[in-house]
Amino acid sequence: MIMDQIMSFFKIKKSVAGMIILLFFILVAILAPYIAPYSPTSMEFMPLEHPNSQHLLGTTATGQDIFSRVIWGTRLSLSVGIITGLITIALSIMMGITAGYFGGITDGILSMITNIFLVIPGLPLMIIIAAYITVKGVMTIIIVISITGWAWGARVLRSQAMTLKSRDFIKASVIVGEKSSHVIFSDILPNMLSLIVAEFFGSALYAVLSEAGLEFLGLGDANAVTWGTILYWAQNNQAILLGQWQWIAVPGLCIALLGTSFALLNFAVDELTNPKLRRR
Amino acid sequence: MKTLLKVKDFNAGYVLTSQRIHAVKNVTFKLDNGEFLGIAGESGCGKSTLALGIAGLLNPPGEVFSGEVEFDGKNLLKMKNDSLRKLRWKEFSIVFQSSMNVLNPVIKIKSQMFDAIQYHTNMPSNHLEERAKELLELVNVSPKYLEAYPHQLSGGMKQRVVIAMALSLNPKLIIMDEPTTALDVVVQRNILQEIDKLRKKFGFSIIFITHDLSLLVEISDTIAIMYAGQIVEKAPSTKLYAKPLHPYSYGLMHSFPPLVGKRQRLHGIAGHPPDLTEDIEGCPFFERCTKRINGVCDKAKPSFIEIEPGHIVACHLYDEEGESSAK
Amino acid sequence: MKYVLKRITFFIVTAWVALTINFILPRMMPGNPAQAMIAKFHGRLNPQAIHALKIAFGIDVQKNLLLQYIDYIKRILTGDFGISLSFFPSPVNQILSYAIPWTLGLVGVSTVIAFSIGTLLGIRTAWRRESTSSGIIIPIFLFLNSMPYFWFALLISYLFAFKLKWFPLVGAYSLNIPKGFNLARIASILYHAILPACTIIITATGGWLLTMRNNMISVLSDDYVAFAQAKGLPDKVIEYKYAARNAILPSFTGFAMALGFVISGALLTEIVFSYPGIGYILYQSVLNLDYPLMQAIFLFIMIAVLTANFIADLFYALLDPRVRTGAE
Repeated sequence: MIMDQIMSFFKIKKSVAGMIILLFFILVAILAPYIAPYSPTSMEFMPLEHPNSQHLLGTTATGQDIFSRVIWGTRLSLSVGIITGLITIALSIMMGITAGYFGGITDGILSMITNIFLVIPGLPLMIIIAAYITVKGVMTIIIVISITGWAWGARVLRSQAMTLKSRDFIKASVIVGEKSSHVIFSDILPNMLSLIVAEFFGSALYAVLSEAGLEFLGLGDANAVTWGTILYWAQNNQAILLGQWQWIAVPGLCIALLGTSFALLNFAVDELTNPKLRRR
Repeated sequence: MKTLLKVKDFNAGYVLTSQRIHAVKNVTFKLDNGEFLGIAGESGCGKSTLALGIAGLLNPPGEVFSGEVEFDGKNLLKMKNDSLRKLRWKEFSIVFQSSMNVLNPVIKIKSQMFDAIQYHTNMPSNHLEERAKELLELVNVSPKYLEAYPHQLSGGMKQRVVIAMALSLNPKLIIMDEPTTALDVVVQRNILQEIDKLRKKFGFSIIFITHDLSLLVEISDTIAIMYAGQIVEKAPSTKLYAKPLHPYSYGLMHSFPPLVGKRQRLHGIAGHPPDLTEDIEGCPFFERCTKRINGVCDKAKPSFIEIEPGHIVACHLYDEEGESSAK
Repeated sequence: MKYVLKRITFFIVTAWVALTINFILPRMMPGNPAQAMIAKFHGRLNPQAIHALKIAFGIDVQKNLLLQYIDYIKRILTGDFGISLSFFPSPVNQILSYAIPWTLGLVGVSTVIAFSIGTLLGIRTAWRRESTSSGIIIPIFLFLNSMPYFWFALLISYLFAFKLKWFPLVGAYSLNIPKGFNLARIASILYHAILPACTIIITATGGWLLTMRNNMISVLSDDYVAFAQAKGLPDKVIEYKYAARNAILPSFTGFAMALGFVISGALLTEIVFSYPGIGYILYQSVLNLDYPLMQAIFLFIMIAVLTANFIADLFYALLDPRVRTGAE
């Protein structure tokens, strides 16, 4: 069954495209020390050079090679995106499945909390929280994004859990006297696997974009090498007015492509599991 | 009796990414003006696919593979979409299985009753309301429900409304696909009686599809039994009731307990229908048939034989091959 | 009407939660940011201002937490948000009243346009699933939906404002034109709004489009659409009266969330174009640790989203009769 699903997964163009882009970035991240021509933080070069054979993407205002920074930046941007996505989906699972499975007052309270977080716009809340936290760093970003981003996944997983709960085979488990934790882990979770995977990709997309936004606003660690902080420095140093559009275009394009790969994979898993969406 | 519908060698099914389901195999039958044809068979035997296919409503992954459907002299399968659309509802209408969901949940009943009429005729709007009230009266639904929304009606009422809609343009043929399955028996009977009354009054033909043979025996003129996508027996209902020839028909006929008489042991039909993704050699009922003839029934497809006028059956028990090997 | 009551309750509860978050956050954060901020302004503010700040942030430990909270709620309900630190001595309300119209105008108009285009395209691309235009539109919008808004804003401003000089780079209106309600000023405002608006529209449309498309595809396989087809109704009628009319409903229930994304995008766009709306002011206030202003902006955004959500809920009730009459 799972092999079947995996096989049909690869037949969809979207999933293949998404996988390729993701693998590309993973490779770049792993091979960064070998591909990047220079160190990303060394400031030994002539500042604000336009792209040339020595510096494919030019240099920053402090004399760093942009190309190397973009390559090295892949590591943090990719890992923060994925880790945040994982933490977010874990929160979604906890909140959503608990609410959906146990129902009653538990559901009432958890759903209320979920709906409230759903309505509060993510970025403003993130900005406020990040502004109050005096320690600026990668951990801050991860925490802030996870706290604000779990609500959508929780809602989706909750309704699926509720549907599953009323299915006969789950009822059978309950009647036999299985503990709730057992029912949840052995019966419900495995049947929601594809939905969880789809939501993970959605969360990862949200994480990558939010991370970029926060860093761009200067709420991340400005000394870290990530695509978002590259953009922060570019904007701070008036890259546009200096005509250094590549300083902005390339890191942003990487963010966009990584985001797109997650969106494609999300779409593909969705199509796979929802027969109505499938192309015949 | 003029022939209204001619279906010849009709083949249809579903094309999925990994398999092809041949749900309707070489179905051939005729329907006269005003005739009530009942089609009976188990779930999954292809009855709905047949109905949708004939009406040109098989959407992907469903597909008509081959065959001819001639309605009132016109070849339905070869018509352009637009011409077919103009025929719809005026010439023939269809009542779906599970009318629970065939009504648009967000618009009023009257709007849905009007639009079929509006787009096929030039009836002025003040007459539409008249006509709708008339139709609802025919099916014993109070006209005040014109202003209601579908979720405010009970299952039985929704079904009646759908039947009223099917009648709105006085079509020559109404196809009804399990219209009463989801309703309780009392409501079922009422609706059937109404359908019969309307048919006698307006003279339209009906193709009535169901898995419940006992329903058909009383009201149909003719009954066709379907199994694994094929028609295995067809006869006027009295003759089928008196003498079901095909072992499957016999099994179906005797699965229902009579209301009166001694308590009897019921015989079901053991086994389950064959897989429709593969081609079946021989008779499709072979596996479950208590009267099967090894060497004949599993090798050769039986063709139709007319045993008595109007009563045809596809079974080796009654053709030369079967008779010769019985000897 | 039970429905309306439920929605009003939600509005009130959520607003209260937002107020409380606003209250708790500065008191909860490690490193006591309030203290740090006060220390920063110590030499530059008069003693009364410092005192007011201390009260606002609970540095003054004379009152216990609960009393501070009640005080806070009272102040908010009377519309007293305090004095801005970065624009001292202007009260926060004044700053907001200046910035809000710009954001409302920009975001309001852009959202309406994005919603309309997105929904319409969503309907059409679902209806004509196999056509090549659908095959092209979907990947494009998928990409647009996955990219960072501010990056897109940066690129657009680079291309159209800096390089091509077709549009102004920053600001909401040209400073050369005299104030007042005259045509030249209106034209200038519109001219300056085009790039930021386009940025928001282009990035936001994708979300509406994909949602609507998915809903349509789902609805198109429902029985009542098949029945409408069986009735021989013209394609357009089926597409709009039967399919779209039902498919659009989830767009309203998810409106608040979608709006949240639009606002986030708009915030960043304002920052890139130095458009003097709430987003830009929020950014400034964060840079300057202007907590009173920051808090007020957050509250305003919350109320605005909740209001828009409430209106969307009312719309939904209008469109879905099952909600009005209390069916399951």
